[in-house]
Amino acid sequence: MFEIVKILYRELHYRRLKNNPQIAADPKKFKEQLRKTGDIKRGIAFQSVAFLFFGLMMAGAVVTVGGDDRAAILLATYSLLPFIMALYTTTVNASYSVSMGIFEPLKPLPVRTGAEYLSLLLALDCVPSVIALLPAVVGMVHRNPLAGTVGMLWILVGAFLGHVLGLVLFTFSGSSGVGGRLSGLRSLVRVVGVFLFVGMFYFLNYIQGYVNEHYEELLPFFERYSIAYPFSVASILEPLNSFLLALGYLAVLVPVYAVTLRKLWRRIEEGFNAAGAGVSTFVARTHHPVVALAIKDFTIVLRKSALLVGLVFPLFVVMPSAVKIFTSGQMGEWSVASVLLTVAWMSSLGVDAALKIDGREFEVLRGLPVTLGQFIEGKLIIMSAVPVLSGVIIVVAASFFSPFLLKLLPAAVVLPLTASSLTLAFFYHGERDLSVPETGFGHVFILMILDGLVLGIVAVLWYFLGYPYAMVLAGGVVIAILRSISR
Amino acid sequence: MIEVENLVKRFGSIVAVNGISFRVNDGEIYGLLGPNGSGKSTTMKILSGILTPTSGRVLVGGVDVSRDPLRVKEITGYVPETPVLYESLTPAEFFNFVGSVRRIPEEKLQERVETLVKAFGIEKYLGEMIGSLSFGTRQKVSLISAMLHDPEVLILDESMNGLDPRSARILRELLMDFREEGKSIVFSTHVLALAETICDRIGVIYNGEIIAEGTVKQLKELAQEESLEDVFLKLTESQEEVATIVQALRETL
Ligand SMILES: Nc1ncnc2c1ncn2[C@@H]1O[C@H](COP(=O)(O)OP(=O)(O)OP(=O)(O)O)[C@@H](O)[C@H]1O
Ligand SMILES: [Mg+2]
Repeated sequence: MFEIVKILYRELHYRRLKNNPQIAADPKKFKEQLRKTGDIKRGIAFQSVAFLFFGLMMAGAVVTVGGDDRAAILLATYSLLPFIMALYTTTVNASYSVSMGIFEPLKPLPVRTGAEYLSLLLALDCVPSVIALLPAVVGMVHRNPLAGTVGMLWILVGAFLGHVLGLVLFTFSGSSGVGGRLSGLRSLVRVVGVFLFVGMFYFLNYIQGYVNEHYEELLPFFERYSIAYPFSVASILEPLNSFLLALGYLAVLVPVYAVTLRKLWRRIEEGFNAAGAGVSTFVARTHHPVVALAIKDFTIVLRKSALLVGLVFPLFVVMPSAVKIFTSGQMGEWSVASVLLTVAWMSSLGVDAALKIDGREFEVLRGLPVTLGQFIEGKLIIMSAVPVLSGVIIVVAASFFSPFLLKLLPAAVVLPLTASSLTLAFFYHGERDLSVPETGFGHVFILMILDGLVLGIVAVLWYFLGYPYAMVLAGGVVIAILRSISR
Repeated sequence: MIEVENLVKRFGSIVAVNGISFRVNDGEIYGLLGPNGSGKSTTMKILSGILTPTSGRVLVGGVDVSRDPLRVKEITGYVPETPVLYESLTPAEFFNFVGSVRRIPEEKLQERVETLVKAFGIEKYLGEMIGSLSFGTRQKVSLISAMLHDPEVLILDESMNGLDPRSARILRELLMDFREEGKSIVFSTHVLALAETICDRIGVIYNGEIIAEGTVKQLKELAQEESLEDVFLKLTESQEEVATIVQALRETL
């Protein structure tokens, strides 16, 4: 049995890697990554070590926080991690293993296959997140042995809950084709997963501080909703009740699990694969070439989570300062402006991901009458989309506190465009043919300085002469670059 | 109409195309035959404006490829030997993308996609990601996307590969119709029987040079051989070589 799961696991990760253009384009990197993640033991060990880093952080908090109650609430919050990881890996892995037909090669072989394999395969990747919580559980056992043990049970129940929910979500999300009813939901799950992983560090820090400060308000809340996971985890200080509650959870989950799994397996057995699932008709929908290029990029990015991380990542660098402004309640024009400037500055980091979207499929564009100008403008849209959107959200949110801040909207839109167009001008300076330049670390470093300089000048203008002047300069840069591009 | 004069293409020190000249008239299907690595694909990429020539003159529909490759891309449809397509888009999304970039009016795009998709029988794959399609289906997507804008010139690099007999026949009939309409078509293949049935004239390319050109009949006379296969082997100096190799194989196996 283990032999088969091993092969399936390897196949699953092989396909997932092939779907990641940043890795698939480079045969050496690909081989290495496959060696790392394709081997079941090595892959899980590798991830577990990464997760243990967070695990130790969490354990530290559980051990040092004052009072068992607070420790229990912390543990309850942390138990979200295995739950969400299980939910995430189950849905993503299920969609890969079904749509790519990784069970197909097994069918003609004289081996017994069954739903258990599928479940095991899908669940394996959430093992590291359970392991990550072990130190925290040990910390809890150290404080209160009985509570700690029940805590462990809850962690497992949480992971199982996530797994079952993931199975349900996938099984009832209709066709595996792109147009499936819940395909939007799947993209959303992916986006959330990406956010969650990168944001974990901030999240943990924040939670610890928050629990410490607002303990009195939190306690009744957790008690009132103690029947719902993960609040229920906080009940471990009354081990018997908590244990019974956990059993109640299992009593519901196990039958749901059995039914869903059987249904999903039948779908696989019947040779349900991506090809030929459902007829769809063609509806012509054309756009301006630049818009079409951007739409194509957005569609690809939403379907390849690895690229999404690259585009969204810069935001995490900015998040803490944005959060700080909102929590401090001091929302002057200048403090919001500084966040907008930072967001814009960070947007140049997205160039790497934006230019990697096409990958080896860039050949397609070379056969089409796409001009370099159109290509660059399309990339400008992609690069600035996330920063512009988040800038606008920040400004709108800030304007709820002081409406006059709404006047910063133009800055939220223009500043990222300034930085992104500078970035693209830097890479495509003097280039005539459609091409993808090398975006090495050195280049990006120089670029950050260059962008920083220009944004610095904008900031200086803003500070000494006033907002309109700064906008004229920032907008002028964009227009000048766009003009030289389209020539 | 395609006119090629003394075309040379070098990749560093490799000479892929070594001074070839030929011409494809309107309403003509021109076959490019030649052993692996002889420069067929390179020539075809130049004809479709993807590669720039090292030297020589190439006019496609009267447009100089070196001067205005973009215009050349607008009037040609190119099907590469291995389909390169955005794998995480669906065929429907891909056709809309190509239609947008080529500025095809929506009604015309709708009509052409519907007709071609039906002709090649890929309706039920319209909503699947291209990455999950079979090789032949991808080839069909690639073919359709090259014909959406009703190009004056078609460059087909081994485009029959992977097509089932039904689709191969449809493509053949389609090419005949295009010829009637006066389009110029360049067609490369290793299937000599196919070349014999489809192509009006054939150029045999070897080591980056055209070593013989003409109708199938002319080529047979030239080489004094009965079948196109023997013509090909003789022209590319492989006839005796093949005989020795086969002999060696028989002895060892
Ligand atoms: N981008 C490139 N860089 C370097 N050499 C190249 C490149 N493209 C082609 N070549 C070389 O040019 C020569 C001709 O290649 P080409 O692909 O045109 O051959 P072909 O006739 O299409 O062969 P096949 O029948 O195998 O498709 C080969 O020696 C090949 O190695
Ligand atoms: Mg070739």
